[in-house]
Amino acid sequence: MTELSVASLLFLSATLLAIGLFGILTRRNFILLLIAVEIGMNAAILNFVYFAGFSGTSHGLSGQAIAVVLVGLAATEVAVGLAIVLALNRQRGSINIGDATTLKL
Amino acid sequence: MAVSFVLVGLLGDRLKKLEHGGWVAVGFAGAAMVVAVLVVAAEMLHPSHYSDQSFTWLQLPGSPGAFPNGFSLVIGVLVDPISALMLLVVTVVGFLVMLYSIGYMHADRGLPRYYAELSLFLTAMTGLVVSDNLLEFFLFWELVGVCSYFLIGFYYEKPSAASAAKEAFLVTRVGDVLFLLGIFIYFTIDATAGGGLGWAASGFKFVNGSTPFLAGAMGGSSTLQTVAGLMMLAGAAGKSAQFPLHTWLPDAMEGPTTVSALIHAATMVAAGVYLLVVASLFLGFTPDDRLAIVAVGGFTTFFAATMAVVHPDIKRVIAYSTISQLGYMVLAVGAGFAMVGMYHLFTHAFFKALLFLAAGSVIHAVGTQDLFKMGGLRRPMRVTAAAFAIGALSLSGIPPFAGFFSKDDVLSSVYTAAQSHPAYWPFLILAYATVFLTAYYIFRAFFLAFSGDKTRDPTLPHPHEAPWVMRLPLYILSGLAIVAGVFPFVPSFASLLSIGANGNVPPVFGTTDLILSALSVGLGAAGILLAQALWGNGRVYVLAPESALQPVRTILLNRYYMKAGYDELGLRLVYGGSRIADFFERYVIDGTIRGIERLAARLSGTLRQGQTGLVSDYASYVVAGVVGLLILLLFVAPFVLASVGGP
Amino acid sequence: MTLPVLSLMLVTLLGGTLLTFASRDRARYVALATSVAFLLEVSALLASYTVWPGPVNGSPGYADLESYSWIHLSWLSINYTVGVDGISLILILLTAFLQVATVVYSWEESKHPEAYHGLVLLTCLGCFGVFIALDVLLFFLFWEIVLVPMFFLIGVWGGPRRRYAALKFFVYTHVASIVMLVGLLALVFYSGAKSFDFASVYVAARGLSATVQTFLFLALFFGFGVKFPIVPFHTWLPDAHVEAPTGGSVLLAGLLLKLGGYGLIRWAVEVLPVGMAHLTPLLYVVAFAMIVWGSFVALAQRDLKRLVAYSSINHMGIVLLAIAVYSQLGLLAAVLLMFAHGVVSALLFMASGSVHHTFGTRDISKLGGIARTAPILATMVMVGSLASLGLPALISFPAEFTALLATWDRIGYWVLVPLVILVVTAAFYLWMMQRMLFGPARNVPATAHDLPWYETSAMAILLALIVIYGILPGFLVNVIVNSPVYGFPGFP
Repeated sequence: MTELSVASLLFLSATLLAIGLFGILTRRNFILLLIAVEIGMNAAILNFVYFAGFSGTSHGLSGQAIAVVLVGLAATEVAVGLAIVLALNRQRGSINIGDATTLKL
Repeated sequence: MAVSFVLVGLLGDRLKKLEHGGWVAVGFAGAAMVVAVLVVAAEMLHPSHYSDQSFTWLQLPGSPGAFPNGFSLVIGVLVDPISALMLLVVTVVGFLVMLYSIGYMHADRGLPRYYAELSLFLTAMTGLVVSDNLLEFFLFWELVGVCSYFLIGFYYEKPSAASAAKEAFLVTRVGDVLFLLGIFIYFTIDATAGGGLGWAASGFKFVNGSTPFLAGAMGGSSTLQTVAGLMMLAGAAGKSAQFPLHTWLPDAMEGPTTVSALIHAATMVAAGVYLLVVASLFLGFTPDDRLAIVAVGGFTTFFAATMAVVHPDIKRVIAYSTISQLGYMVLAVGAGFAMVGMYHLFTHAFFKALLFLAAGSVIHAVGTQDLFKMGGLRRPMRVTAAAFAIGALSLSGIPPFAGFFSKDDVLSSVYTAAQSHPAYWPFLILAYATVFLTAYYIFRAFFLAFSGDKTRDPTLPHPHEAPWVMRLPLYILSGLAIVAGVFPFVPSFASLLSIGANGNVPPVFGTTDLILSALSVGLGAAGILLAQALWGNGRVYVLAPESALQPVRTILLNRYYMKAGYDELGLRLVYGGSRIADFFERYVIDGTIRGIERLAARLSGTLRQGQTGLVSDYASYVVAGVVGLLILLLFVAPFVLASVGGP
Repeated sequence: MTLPVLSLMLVTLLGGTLLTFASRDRARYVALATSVAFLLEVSALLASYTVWPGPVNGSPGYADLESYSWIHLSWLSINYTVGVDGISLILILLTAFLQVATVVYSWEESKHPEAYHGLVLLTCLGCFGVFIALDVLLFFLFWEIVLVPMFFLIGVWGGPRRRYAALKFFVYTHVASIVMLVGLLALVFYSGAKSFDFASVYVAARGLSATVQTFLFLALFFGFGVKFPIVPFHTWLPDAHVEAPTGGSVLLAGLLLKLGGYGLIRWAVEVLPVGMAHLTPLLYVVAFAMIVWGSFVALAQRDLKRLVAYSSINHMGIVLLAIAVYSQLGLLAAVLLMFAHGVVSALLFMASGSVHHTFGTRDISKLGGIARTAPILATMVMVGSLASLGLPALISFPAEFTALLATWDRIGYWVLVPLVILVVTAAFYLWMMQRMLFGPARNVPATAHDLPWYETSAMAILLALIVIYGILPGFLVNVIVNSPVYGFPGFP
């Protein structure tokens, strides 16, 4: 198996992050926004996995552990996010973020 | 023993609590007088005796300029020939005026306040006289000033009295701050003199134990010493109402006449002269100082006398005369004969107090101060008229009254000094001219008030002679005004006046140039005769309206416009300046602040546009921030750090 | 183990403050009891303070020193360190007296008395804390504590423009506080001190270069200076005074201004002498500006409180001048003058307050003849004014005398500037008295009466201080010179 260079892996993460950011900044649909956030977050999780792999066992499994925790976190976040989307949809009849510019209902 | 003075005075101040504290105040003043007489007696028995008791008031840390090791300030009581003499003047006149007040102030409101303030004044004045160092002197100096402020403003509901009180305080304050600077300079001179005197170590006292630091022994740069001397002169000019700080004294006549007699004739205003005497003896003046002092004294003497010539108010005439006579004393001190000045102070206190109290008796009787409304008071008020006449003769320098001896001494001492200092000549001539003016204006007042058949203003109440409490002081002061002049012929009393240093010994009596004496007496007599010719027998001399002297009269009545000038200066320059400052304060400084405020408000208004509430907008700010930070950290920071040589 | 005196005193005040807030209609009694207890404690503290304990390892030593570790990191420790020396003792004494006087003066305060008295006590607690704190963070903490109660005192109990004034006060002093905090933190970190303690900062600061010291001093000068208040950052003061309730004005003039002076002496002058030496011309300019400006603007005022407020600027200018001359004598004069000004301005503000609620106005041009209507009040105004213009035998005289002598000794004839201004100061006080106290009575409302007993007593306390310490300033002087600065080599 060929060794992947750090640079190329980081490039992958950066690309993912860029896609996520692009989505966050441009999408007005709440669901798409959540997806974009997830993509950006996965870039960070990937980074943890890479560096955990490169650093061997010198830090135990902490990198992998954090990655797993983050995956769980992402899942809960999506759950909460979707709940908000549902509540918003019920309240405003739309899931466009342009309609939700105030913090109150 | 001497400490008891201060105590006596302090107790006197407690009188406020007694409803009619007058007699108690008189009692304390009398006790003080008795002690003063004892002190004088003791001093006469032991000539040139210096007794000093003091304690450290403040022990101060150092200042690197002149006092690297710190210094102490002391409060003490010094009894020496000069202070004994002055003490006698203060307590005798003080006692008599207190006694007189019982009758004079009888009908006034606020009597406890009056007696308390008068007692406080006497306390402060005794304190001033027995001070054994400059700072203590200044302390009491200010206290007598504030007592004078209170007493001038005694009738505080009269706006003119309140205004006069303020003016007196302010004008003397100008002198006082300069005096304070003078004290600083003397401190420095002494501290840098190399400690040869040990003056600094002993708390800047005039004496070391029982040895006086007489002038001449002081070192220091002469420029500094000249400046210090001028500052003393400024302080004295403020207190003793010398040109150009004289304007307050005539206005101070707004106070009760008793106050005018005690404070603004006999004692407090003489404190300025006393300061010059003390400074001349213990600190010394440079020749430049002396010339300045002679100039101020000589000019004031004449200047004040001219204003007295035309004034219609009996008290103000005497007030101008006070300024003029103080000028004589200053003149003598400047000429180098400090004790001659002291001698004139001594006699002047009695005859001037006499004049004021006699005038007070007149005012008490007729209820006006306008000379032109009076007239014919001789018959109903014999005692007062006689007393006024004695005072006036003494003031005019007619022998054998007290004023003759001392004034003659002043003139001959200036004459003596002028032999070696030609610059003194003009002031000697002015002083002689003043002899004539003095006799003229005081007898003008005398004739206007007392001669003739009846009062010119028929609405005035029927005059009556004063009660005995007012007459008694008149008798005593008349006696003193006659005999005080011959005191120095008593050898042991003369020793009080001959402090032996720096040519301060007065000319020996009898060897004064007889021609000079005759000249001054002749001038005085001429003045009296002129007054008699113009104003005698109830005549009123009216200057023709077209007379060339009319403008002169206007100028004199308006006091050479100096008071008006000062008022303008105060109002236009100082108050105007302060209004401008206030405007600047409100609109420029605070305006700038308000401008900043508005700018901030506008800025925040602009920034608020960015708060859209759109999540994606916020997200883009975050991204922009991160990118900005990255740029800063990666590109800008290393560059900056490299340029300042940091890590 | 010695008794932790200072902490006990702090606890007294804290407990008293909390109790005052909690007790409803008994608040004034609690407040008075607390104040009196505090005053007694201060007296005991003064009585036990004989001589400063001497240097400790090259840093100043302090009496009643207490130090407990608060936040401890490997590279930095923050402690609860308190202690006193002569300078702080005098200002603590001032705090105690003013606290009692203020509580007594406000005896009949009817609007939320518990909150009012509680805030007064809290202000005094903050000031006390500032005067005893010997740790950067603790100092800053107390410094900020003072702001809050004063903000509410002005903002709730104040006059018609109270919101503006309170906000202005808060913004000004808070901005200054931040600059001061930055300065203090920079001082700690640049000097490489291992702890926030005054002693370690003091020692570490010896090694700072002149440039760094100068910049640090500048920051601290601005930070402390706004409280002084230095011209041109002074305009919060008249507004705050005019709008504040009387008690607030008293504390503001009597104590808050002194915080600036104390802070400057303790944290800037003592710690950064080299930096100060570089900035001496600036200090002189600012001091002269304050002296001249305060006096001139005061002359133009018609509102009695504004007049006294501007005279405060003038007097604090002399304090700054005395600090700027940088000598033992000057420092003594500065502290003495702060005490004197604290008492005198407190008296004058109380008198202004009484004038206001007796006659319904403080406008000097509308008043007249108070001496007849209310003689006691007139006496108070008169004594206060005379003390303020430096009459001997009253408290300001020894202070101003030493200040001016110290100035003369260092900068010669420049002393004429404050000397001449003394005449202007006398002018505005005398003119005020002439118009307001004397002359025929004008605009006297039917309800006008002389002072109620509590106002008389409050002012009588201050009056007694003015006279007693005026005649015997040695009490104060001997305490002040028992301070580390006076024993340290190198201090001129």
